[in-house]
Amino acid sequence: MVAMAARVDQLLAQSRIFWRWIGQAGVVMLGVHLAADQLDDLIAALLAEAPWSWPVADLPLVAGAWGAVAVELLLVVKIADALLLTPQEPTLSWRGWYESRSVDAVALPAFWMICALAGAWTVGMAVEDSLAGLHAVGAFAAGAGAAALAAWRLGWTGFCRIVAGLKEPPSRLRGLSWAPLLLAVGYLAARHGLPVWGWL
Amino acid sequence: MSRPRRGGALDLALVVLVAGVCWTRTPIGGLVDRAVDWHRGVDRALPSLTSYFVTGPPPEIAEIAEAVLAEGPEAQPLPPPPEGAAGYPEPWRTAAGHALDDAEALAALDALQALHGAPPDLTLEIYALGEEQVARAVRRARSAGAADPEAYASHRRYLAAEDARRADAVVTGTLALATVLDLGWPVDPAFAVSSDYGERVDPVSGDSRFHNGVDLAVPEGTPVYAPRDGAVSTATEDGVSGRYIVLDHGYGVLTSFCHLSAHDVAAGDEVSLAQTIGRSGNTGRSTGPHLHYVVRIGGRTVDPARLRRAPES
Repeated sequence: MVAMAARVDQLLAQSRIFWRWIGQAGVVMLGVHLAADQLDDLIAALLAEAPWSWPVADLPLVAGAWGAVAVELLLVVKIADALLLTPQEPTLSWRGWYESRSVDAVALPAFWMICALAGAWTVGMAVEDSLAGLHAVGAFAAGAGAAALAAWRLGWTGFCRIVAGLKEPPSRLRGLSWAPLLLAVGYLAARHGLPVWGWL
Repeated sequence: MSRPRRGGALDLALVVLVAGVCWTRTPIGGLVDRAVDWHRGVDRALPSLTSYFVTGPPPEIAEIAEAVLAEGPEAQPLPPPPEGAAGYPEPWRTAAGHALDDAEALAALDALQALHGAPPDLTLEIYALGEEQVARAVRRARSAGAADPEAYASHRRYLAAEDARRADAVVTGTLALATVLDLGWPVDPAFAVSSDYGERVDPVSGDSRFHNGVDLAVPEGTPVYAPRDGAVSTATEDGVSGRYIVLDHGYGVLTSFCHLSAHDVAAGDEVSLAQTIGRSGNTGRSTGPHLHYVVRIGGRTVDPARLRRAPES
């Protein structure tokens, strides 16, 4: 029985190049969602401060919500692009990153790391919510464990993959158009999606 | 490169877990639901993609408001608060009674408020989701450094999407009804309604059109009062409504005042109940001096005349 389980585990491990990217992208998307949930309020507040009057009073609110949806969907494209165009099981190297340094090589990993951590926390929250009816303390522990595993097995491996997958760019400015969005979402994920600020 | 030989089952479990969480908590999941329904030829009502972000009353709240207003705000007898409980300020109690349509719910709300001394939004949320779930969301908001973690709007994002929608229906739905039922009247009640809410023959075009508010027969220059505390979201003019003002009273309740001769407030101003916000007039597409008064709840109009209180009240 143990041998069979080990064999199944091995087969799954060998096939994970086909499916692990879904989890790697998903954990970052969950962090992006936490950030986007703040972004809609910011867009709405910004539009509400406009010097003109809106024809429909709650237009800033609606525009903020659709803006957040649009950002979330746009970043799906960026995340999928970053993941699917890179090697499956890369090796991190400082030299390799230095040779491929560009705006993208800074903004994308920073965004990725923060959003993956925020996303892992969301996974932990979901696990805690689903188990809380059984045992509150146990659910909290299970949530923390799930968050740590998601951060390590999906967030970190995805981070390694996109960093090691960076190629020497034609220009050091490559990624400049994406950088403001990545850094803004990364900032919001750091500020509102990490459960550390209450302790600091 | 050598292939990894262990940890496949753990990774697969995590991928399934993450995909499930994405499905239930993000608009990506909403899109997947739509794609699956489209593929299967199923046509069912799905939450809007924006419902993952926006806190607002549920779409059916205007219908509930219509039903409440048809009966009259005082129509439903309410149980007295338990001994020692502070009870709820009217008309929130009345609104809760109608919105929840459950006498036991009112008693439960009273008990909750007496127990926690919590503000109305938190009390309603506890009623909708249970104390433990709300406490978890507040704890998460606090650990993420939210400014006011106990406020519903602050910790809503740390609830599961389905729970947040359920809480929205009770919290914002009930408070939206309470807000509507608490509206005053924008002019001296002695002035008559000259054109009712609903289908009518348009006095300018002669066509049958839906009249989305009431016309009040007031002479030019009559003071127009704020029917409740709120913020001025629009104070401008156009060719149809003339000079007009829109007030936002919170919880998706907006009031509009059209064909004014003058604004006494500007967009962004805070206003209080009975404050003069402008003067009535005859501007825009209008055939004579009057005030066109509109009440919106959750984006839909309701008949303002039903909110009119007796002069002695």
